[in-house]
Amino acid sequence: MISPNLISSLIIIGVLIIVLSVIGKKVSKLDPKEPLKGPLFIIVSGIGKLNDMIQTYFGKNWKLFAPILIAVFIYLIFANTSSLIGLNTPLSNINIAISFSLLAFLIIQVYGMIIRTPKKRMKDLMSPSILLFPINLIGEISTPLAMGLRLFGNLLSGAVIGVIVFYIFPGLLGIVSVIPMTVVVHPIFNIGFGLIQAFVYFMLLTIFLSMAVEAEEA
Amino acid sequence: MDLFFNLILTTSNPQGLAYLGAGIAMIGGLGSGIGQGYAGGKAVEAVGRQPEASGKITTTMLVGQAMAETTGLYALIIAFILIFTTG
Repeated sequence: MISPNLISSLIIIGVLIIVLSVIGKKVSKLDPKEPLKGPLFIIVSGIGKLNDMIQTYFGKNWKLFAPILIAVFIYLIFANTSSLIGLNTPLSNINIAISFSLLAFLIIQVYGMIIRTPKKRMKDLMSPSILLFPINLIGEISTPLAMGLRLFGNLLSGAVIGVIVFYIFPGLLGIVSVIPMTVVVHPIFNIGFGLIQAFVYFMLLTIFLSMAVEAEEA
Repeated sequence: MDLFFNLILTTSNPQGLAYLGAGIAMIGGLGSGIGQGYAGGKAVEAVGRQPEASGKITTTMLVGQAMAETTGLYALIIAFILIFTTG
């Protein structure tokens, strides 16, 4: 049996692939001399801001890292707020959350192996002394795991509190119970926590990736 | 005391004890609450001292608070496991 979380995740991925590739085609055809207008302006300036932020962390070869980081960020924005349109939040399923920590682990390790050769990476892991090697190894595994579990815990708690409120309040207040649901539950637990957690995952992935990639640049 | 625990173990069902354990596990939320409050208070102080840097301070505060939240979330996950997997 396929879980509803996985189905909504696949729906979000499909819609995002179509919409974002259409927007990408439109942006690549733009005339750079004309001023931008409307939603395209918001999208282009938003991506530009994210690119600037990534550039401050990675320095000159930031273009290698920007696409995957921004893709993960955009997916998380839409996935965490997807319960507003009736889909199950994908990250409130532990399998998808753990797959996100696997994603973070693979991004960090693969980029680390490619940018810094495996030999130098081993040297980084043994950095202060060889005695700290097991502890560094645990750190490499536990930070991505904590990132995935953080997403899972936040979104599952939001979903559970939402369900509890939706069960309890109609019996107590009747039609007035629409107010706490629309004013309190959805803005805080869907929009607020979802966007904050998406941003936090993006920031932490950026920070850990930049640490793995340029550990001893100085 | 021994008699008391024996009484609890023999008269109550394991599911109720699992709910009790879930409640006790959520004491772990205490630490993350204190940590988040400390980060928020320090961020307010920093904004008061340097109002023009409020955007950067807010971003740093949110990331730090999310890090502090992790241990509380572990407690929450343990509580959920205890609630949903027993019974």
